[in-house]
Amino acid sequence: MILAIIGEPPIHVAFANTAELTRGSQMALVGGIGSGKTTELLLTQKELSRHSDAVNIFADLADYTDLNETNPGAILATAGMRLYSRLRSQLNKAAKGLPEVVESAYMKLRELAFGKTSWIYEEEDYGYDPDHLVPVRSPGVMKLRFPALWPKVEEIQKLLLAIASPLLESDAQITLLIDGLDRLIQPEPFRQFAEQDLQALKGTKISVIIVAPLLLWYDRSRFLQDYFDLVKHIPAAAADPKHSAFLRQILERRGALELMDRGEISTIAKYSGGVLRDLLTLARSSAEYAYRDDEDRIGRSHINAAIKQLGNRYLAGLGNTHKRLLRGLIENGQFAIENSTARELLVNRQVLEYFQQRA
Amino acid sequence: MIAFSDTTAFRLVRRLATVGLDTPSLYLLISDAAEMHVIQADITAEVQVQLGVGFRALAAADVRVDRLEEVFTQDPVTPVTLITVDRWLPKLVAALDRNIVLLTTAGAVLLLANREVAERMLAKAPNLRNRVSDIVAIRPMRLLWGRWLERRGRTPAARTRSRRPNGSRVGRDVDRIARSAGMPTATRPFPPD
Repeated sequence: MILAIIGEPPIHVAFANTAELTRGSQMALVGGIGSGKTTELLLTQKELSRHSDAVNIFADLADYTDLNETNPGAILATAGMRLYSRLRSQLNKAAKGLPEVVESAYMKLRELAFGKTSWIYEEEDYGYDPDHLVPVRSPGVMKLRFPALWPKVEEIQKLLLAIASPLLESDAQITLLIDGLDRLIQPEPFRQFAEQDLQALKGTKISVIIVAPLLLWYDRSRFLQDYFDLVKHIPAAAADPKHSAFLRQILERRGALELMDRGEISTIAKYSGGVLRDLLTLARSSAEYAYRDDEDRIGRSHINAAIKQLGNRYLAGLGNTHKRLLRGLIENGQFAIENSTARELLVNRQVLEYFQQRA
Repeated sequence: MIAFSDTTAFRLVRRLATVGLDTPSLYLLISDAAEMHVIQADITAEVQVQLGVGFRALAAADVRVDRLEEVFTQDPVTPVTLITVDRWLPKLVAALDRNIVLLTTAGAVLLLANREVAERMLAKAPNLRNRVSDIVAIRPMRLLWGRWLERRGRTPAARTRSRRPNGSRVGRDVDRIARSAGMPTATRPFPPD
């Protein structure tokens, strides 16, 4: 999906430009579930590849670490290991070996990332018993804007920089594109990642583009805007079906006219609300209903069944408070964004935001 | 109460076959708690007969939250996984939600839950809600197709009665496979729901 407000470059172009012009910049992308954030990241990666010295690392963090627990250092460790693989394959092609410092940094990084098993004698005496240590905190006069890096995160940072050193010395443009952290939904776990891993990357000339939970966009603390150099928001609705032919064109270009009439295409576009994922879901479900009925073409009844089914999916699990808010929006046009339940409705796409395009 | 469209194991598996097992799909199946084991047996038989592939059935309580990647590693031998969520397990649901990519790369994943658990899952797991291919109310085939099959002496019970008076498990399985083979195909109309 390419979303562009008239007069502004598309999001992926803006990200790529910033990463290239300001090395080490940190950028965040927020948007509802299914709004096309991953697609934008992939487009950014493609855009960045226009330069031969670009080293782009795309990682969905859920593929590398269990997002069920907050584990600061995971982004750095993932980046380090991916950079090592990249360097190794490059040098293998040239039949060269990696510098010793990079190899040893990688070994240590793996140990820190995945742990290790050491065999020790049970009776070994370490000279102190950590269970008997008690922390004594003496408050300082300055309140840190961000908490200090955890020792382990600091250690991983050094190892990452050692691995990246051959690339940084050759002035390569390294960009990390991190996906998956929006699935944390709640802002707090993301903030912990940002305050450790992203803070550790500041000043390293390694640019970061990260997908952040949508709730942070509405957060009063303005964490996103304060912390990141550039923040972009993708609305869940790619286009307003009332005013745009964009959605109909998508279906038509995918061959929908072979299976249904223009009227049916318009109905699907209208009831998708402009959400691309729902547009495709409705088209697919309608086709499945038609197949089930042994029909060659998708008819109005198949589309109605698909719309009803999708609507039920959105209604399922809603409590009375949610329903009251939805009723208020439908009847009076009122919707208090400050309300946490209202934000849930936005995150889950039960309520869609539409943005007027600037002329 | 929200009325999701009804389906049976036969139709569900036929749908999986239509979409193709190389396309990741995630279905939330809602059923009465008392019928879960019957539905599980229906799905097992239909997967074997219609798709001819391996099938994994897991109880949610046996899935370790910290070992999700092992459960959902793509396995070409068993591309269909059924997870029966017979009670509310908030930690597991949160883990599935955050690691939804693992589920959507593991072939076809079927989550079977009762209505209450399903609604709580949808409320607490927005990523999962969004990635679900469909939510359907699934019924045992003998209930939905009962009269139609009975008329033809094709219900498991009728066939078991006629062939094996004792109604052994093997007899029922053989019967189910035979029944599935004789069921309507894409070119023949379905009996009314």
